[in-house]
Amino acid sequence: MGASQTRPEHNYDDLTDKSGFSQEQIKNLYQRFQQLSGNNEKISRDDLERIPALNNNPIRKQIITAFFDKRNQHQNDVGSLDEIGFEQFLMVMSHFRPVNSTATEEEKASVRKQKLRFLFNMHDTDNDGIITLDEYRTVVEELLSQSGAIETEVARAIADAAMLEVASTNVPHMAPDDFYEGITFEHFEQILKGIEMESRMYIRFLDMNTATMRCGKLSS
Amino acid sequence: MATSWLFKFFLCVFLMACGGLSLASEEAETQNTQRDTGTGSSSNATGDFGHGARPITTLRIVTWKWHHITAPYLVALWILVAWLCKLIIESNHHVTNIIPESALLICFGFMLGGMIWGADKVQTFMLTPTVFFYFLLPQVILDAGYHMPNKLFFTNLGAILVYAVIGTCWNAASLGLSLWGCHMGGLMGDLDIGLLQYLLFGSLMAAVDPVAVIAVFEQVQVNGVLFIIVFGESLLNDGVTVVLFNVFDGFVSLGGSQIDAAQIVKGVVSFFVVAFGGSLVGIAFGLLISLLTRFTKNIQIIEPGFIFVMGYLSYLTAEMLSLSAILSTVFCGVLCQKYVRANMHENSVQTVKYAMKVFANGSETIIFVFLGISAIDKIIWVWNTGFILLTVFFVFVYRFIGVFFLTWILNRYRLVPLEFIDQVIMSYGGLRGAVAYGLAGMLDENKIKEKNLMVCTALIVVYCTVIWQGITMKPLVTWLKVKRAEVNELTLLEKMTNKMFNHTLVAIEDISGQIGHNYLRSKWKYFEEKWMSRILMKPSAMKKQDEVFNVFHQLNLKDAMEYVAEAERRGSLEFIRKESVVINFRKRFESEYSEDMPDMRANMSNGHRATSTTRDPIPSVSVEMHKHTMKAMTEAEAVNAHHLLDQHLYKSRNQHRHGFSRSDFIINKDEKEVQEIFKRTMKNRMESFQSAKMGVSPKTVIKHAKMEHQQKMPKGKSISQTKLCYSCDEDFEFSEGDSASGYDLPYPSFPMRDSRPGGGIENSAFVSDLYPTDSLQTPDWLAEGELDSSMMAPSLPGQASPPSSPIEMRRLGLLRISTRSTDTKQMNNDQLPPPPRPSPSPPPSSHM
Repeated sequence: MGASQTRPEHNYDDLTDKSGFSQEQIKNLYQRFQQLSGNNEKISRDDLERIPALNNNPIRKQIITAFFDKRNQHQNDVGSLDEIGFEQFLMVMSHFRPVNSTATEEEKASVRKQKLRFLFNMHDTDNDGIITLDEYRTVVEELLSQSGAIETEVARAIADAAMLEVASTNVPHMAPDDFYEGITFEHFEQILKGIEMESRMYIRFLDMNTATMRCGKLSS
Repeated sequence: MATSWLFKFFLCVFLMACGGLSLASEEAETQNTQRDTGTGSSSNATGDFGHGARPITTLRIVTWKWHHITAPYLVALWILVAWLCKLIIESNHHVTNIIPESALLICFGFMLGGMIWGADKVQTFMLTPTVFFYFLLPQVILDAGYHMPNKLFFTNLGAILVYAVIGTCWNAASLGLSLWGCHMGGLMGDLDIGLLQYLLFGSLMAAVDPVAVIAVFEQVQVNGVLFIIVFGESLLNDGVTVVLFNVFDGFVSLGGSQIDAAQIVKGVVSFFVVAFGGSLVGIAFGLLISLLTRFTKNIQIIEPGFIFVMGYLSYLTAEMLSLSAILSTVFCGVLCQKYVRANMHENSVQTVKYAMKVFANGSETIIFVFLGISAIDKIIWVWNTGFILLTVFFVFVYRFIGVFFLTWILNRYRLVPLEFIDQVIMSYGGLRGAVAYGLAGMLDENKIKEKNLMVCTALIVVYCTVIWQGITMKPLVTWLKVKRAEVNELTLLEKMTNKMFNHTLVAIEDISGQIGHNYLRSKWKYFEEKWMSRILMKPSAMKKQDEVFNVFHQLNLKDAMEYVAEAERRGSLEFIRKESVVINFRKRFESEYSEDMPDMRANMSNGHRATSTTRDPIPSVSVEMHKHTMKAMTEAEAVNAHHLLDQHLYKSRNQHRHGFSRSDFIINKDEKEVQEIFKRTMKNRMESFQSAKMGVSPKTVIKHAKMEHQQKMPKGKSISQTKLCYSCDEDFEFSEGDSASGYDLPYPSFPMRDSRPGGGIENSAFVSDLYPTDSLQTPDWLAEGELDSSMMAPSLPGQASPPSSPIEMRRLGLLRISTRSTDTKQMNNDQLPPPPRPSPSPPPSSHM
């Protein structure tokens, strides 16, 4: 796509520092961005919703929303955008970049935290720092909506049970009148500490184009 | 159908016996043909009895017919002996903690072999390739495939394949060439082995052995990725080994001069044919099994046998087509496990699981014992220090080199690189086992002069790896601080978040336009759910597929069991109604409902709420829930729960009566229980009614209801008895003594139901399940189950009218439901519409 030439090279340097992607990866992602946006500078919700491969994804809505969420832009800002530019697009993507093999334990931990935060934000739609039962239910219902076997009521019950589980692990001795508002990020982190993230939250952003991707299949 | 199937099943069992049979007979043959040592017929105890036809002088009452049963008898005896060895070994855990079981079994084999040698002066019994490959190995492999952690396996498939294919080729080539080099260098003295024969030997020594790997790694418990890589490699390298072995065997027969490029190309092609062909055969059989289990509902007793027969057939078919039999069986197991588990009745699933373990573990034991016994034989011991020591050395060293080199390449592509320590363990885990020995035994003595040296070397390598590396593996793992397997149960939230992760990753890959693992996996999953499941799975089974649901179900179950255990401690389930632990949650929820989302509350209950005073408060979903909750019972929980419930909820007086039917062994018991419970219930009701009369003050409403129930009782009884009369071979006497089954609880407390209206959450099934306190009906199913299932009485008509067979666990589900309906009746004094019947449950044939 010739459009990539319209973007001067030095901009990439900038973005490399910010997002940690390599020049090559940024170039690829930019091509993709252009493809999605129809060669526009900005990308909108509709553009993302049009991606055919996303149709089968039960939590499509949440993911698309996450792209337009200012919280995921590595800035201390809240609210949501209507459309995002390439830089923002890249920042969201950078959540899923694998850490370097040279990274220290601390760096790994912080990356992990960042990823968890991303997930947390997908749950916490109203940005009050707490996943309420209501919010959680919505997500679970969406998540389970695809497998037609589980009815909405069951999904809801599952959400309730999960919530209760969090409540009982985090606040073991609750007085009868106590009220558990929801999962805070700390609780969220605590509960998910057993999850193996290293291999899960990453996507291989290869330097190559997708045409050569197939070799990746064999290698892991 | 059933009988023919049974026949097959016995056949299957018999096969193992036959394994030993041919073990013995072949033994005899090999001795007679191959060894002209003239040890005489006395060596072969089997041949000498009853040969001479003596004239019959008189009718003998007892005759000695040893020759009739020699072979099967010996087989059975050997199996018994091998298993007894295991019994002895496992009785002392101090030893097995240090020395792995496999090593100990081999040592026992030495001893047994020594005894035989001492008695016969020749080794009568040894592991022959036929017995090993056709009768001992298949079970182990099928078990490995069937219990393969699929996800782990397929995510690491790339790495596994690299190690299995390239690694094995490397091992074979390097070993063969190095030995040849050393031979040329004159390190081995005078040996009649050419380059091709060295390569042949290298190829049979190259393969890591699945049996040995399982045996050693099972006790070490390294982390999943490490295990699956070594284990997967050991399974998949079979294809390579078979090809290498056949190709070099062919080359040796052809002679060096006739090998040209065309032959080598053929060899390469045959690799693909053997490997992929074998896998395809396995996949075909896997699909066949899955499809078959869709229709085995009516022959549940023999249902589990299909898995074994078909699995074995897949092995034999591949062998027949000279494809890789191990690959075939592995893929058969891998493919069918999901559908089989979903399609078959949970009891059959359990049966398959245990029978599989019995076979696999049993034959593994036999393999190791016989590996030991085989060593005690003068004929195979041809000592050549150079050859043997160099082989051991090269096998060890090249394994390390191969693993490190391949990992170095792989790590450039892996998201999570394999660490140095992992690589050490992987190299160290390159155990050779019975496969190498079996292949060595298959060598043709005419073509390869030094066959016995090779067999002997193979045995020594096996002993070195299994015993020495087996023993040192555990300390090494501890010393290197290898990441161990984490045994943690995922919480519901974790499961949900995992699911979230996966979907998010797929979406990000979609958006970024990458085609990665997640993309492929999601496409596969989509395809699988859309097509495969639909074709291969019973429609009713598809529901319980969701793992989130399973966790949810297990949580529910755990709660129920905790209640029972707690009740056991306290002697009553009373506390559920009173204790605050559970109430906390309820309150919390209630408050959330009322404070956070008042509107939600109305929505939530799907209209039930508004009418909950007049309509029955059990939403249809709860019935549905129970249905698949009960079905989704898994494995250990099921067993536990069965035991718990068996022990504490109900103890049948007639439990030890045996039915005569071979195909219906549960129904009778069930109905007996139903009737007995009914009787007890009657009694309880009577008593509670009396106590109520005596002024212990149950509410009048309930009292009335009770009276009504009593009036209804006979009707219910008659229905049930006519319906179930075919099972009425039992006599039940109704006696006071046995009804209470040790849980005599104060009756007065039982009718006093807390008739406070259930909290704001009528609709969600789980609330009532998890928090029995909150919708007051629920505790009763537990409490009353404990109280001698007082509420079973009204549920009886409910159970009898649709033809349903209460399976122990499922009965619980019915029980719950019907309990509630009873209580509803009681509370509302029969102003209610009839309670929901449990939706048509499986016909009576669906017994355990």
